[in-house]
Amino acid sequence: MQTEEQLQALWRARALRYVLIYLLLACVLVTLRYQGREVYPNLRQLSATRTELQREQEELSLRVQTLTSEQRIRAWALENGMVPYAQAGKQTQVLGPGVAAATPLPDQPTPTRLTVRTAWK
Amino acid sequence: MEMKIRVRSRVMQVVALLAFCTLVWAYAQLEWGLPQGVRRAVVQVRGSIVTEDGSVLARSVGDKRVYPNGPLAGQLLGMMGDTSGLEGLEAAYDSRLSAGQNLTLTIDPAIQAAAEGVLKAAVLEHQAEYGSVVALDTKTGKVLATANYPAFDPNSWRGQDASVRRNRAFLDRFEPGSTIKGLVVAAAIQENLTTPDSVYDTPMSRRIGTRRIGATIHDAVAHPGMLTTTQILRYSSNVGMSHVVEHFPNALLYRYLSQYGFGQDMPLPSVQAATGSLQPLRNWDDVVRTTNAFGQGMSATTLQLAVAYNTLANGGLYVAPRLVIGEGQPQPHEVISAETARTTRELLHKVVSEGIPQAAGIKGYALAGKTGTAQVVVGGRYSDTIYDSVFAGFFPSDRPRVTLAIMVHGAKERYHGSMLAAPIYRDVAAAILSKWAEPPEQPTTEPNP
Repeated sequence: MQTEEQLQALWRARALRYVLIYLLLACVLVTLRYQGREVYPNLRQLSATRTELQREQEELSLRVQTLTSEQRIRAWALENGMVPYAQAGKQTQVLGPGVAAATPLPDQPTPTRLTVRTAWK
Repeated sequence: MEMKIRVRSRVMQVVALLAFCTLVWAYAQLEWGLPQGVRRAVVQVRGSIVTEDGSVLARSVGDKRVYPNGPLAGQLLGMMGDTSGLEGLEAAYDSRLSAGQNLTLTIDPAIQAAAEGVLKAAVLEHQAEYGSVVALDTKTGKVLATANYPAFDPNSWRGQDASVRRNRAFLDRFEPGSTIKGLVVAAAIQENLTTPDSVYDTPMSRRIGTRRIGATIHDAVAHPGMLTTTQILRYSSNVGMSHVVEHFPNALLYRYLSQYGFGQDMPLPSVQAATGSLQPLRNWDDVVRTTNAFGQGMSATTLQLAVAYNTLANGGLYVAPRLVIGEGQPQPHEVISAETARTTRELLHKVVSEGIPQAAGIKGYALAGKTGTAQVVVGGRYSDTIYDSVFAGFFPSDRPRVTLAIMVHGAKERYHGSMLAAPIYRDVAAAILSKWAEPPEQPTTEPNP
């Protein structure tokens, strides 16, 4: 049978042990967080960069669409004196004999026999 | 005693574990800043308005609505307010766009740009007030272009006048004038009331109706005293048309005009389009029938005129126009037979090739159509100074692929249909034929002028 004093001592020791374990785990947690302290700022920076790049991409795609619009191409063509194909002058001409076609290679006979050689190691 | 100690021990271990978990949870809360039970609000991006070839006509960038092609089809697209569409397709399809769904249009950006460019140049050159052009795909009724001038840029709509935002091609009603003659001749041929070679006595003016209720109609273009139906169209003779419809029953002609779409609701779902008007049948007499035969006393929009002429181009079938992919379309209905449509197309081809080859023709290509020059009603009377220059036609005339209708209002110079609307038709047709790289049908031996 343990005396009251012995029980109290036992509980004091256990309480102290548990508190120390708790503090130790807390320190481990804080240490882990301290070691990864750069991760979150980097993630935020990357997220901001991604948002900015997406915005730039959208602006550029809009600019490309505007610069390659049909009205712009048509206006440029007319300014440079181009005429629509349907209204452009056309002439018909009989084609001459042209360049003689190259002589085709003589027909090679189609092989009808397949020879298989097996080499055994 | 030993049992109690063990139980107490276990309880203390659990409490310690809970305390540690609480610490971890509190740390996580601080670190990630996530309050419990609150969801991040999801912002729905407004749908884009695109064309079938993938061109983007309207899209949202951040919280701003952008129209990358500027004023291209500006009146058709409409514009956005702070949170919702205010006019045009932005308003008509606001709920669908707000839900993030895209809208695909039948508009062809190249044809739209060509129509807008040609229209603008002509309106400025002839000092007109405004104009509109509609282009349809003959077989399907797809609206390939709906051009208006003055142009409207939805990117900067604040401060612009409401009249600039108006989609005139769909909303402005006007008397179509002599363009109606092609449709009425087709109806008369269908009813065996005339043939292309029927000959009529055609002085430059003729009195119609009774002595009490009558009118004298005049022709504007000098012509021989006897004309065939083919020549009536070529010389645009009102007197000749009065003969063509002389024995046409009022109710029957009224029915044909209705079946062409005049005076009827435009079967375009969700999009605002005016109806135009025909005089009620009970008011029809000889004068009304005759004046309707050359397009006076009735009204239509540029879209209605294009859809009506598309009937001639499409083998006599009335095909409802389509603007938005995925929307329903009524079944086509036959107005005239395929044979009658083919005959009429040949007559309209001669109108261009023999009547106005320079104004409306392109060497080597078969174009067909009819001009119209309509006096505008001002203060209940026909004005002598304000005219609508109109043209409707299709090409190639033997196997049409595109139907065009043009209207220009209030030109101060050379306002006749053959001088203003016909060249617009020719140049838009040239742009479309060039886009197709369509070779000429007949060999040419000298350059185009």
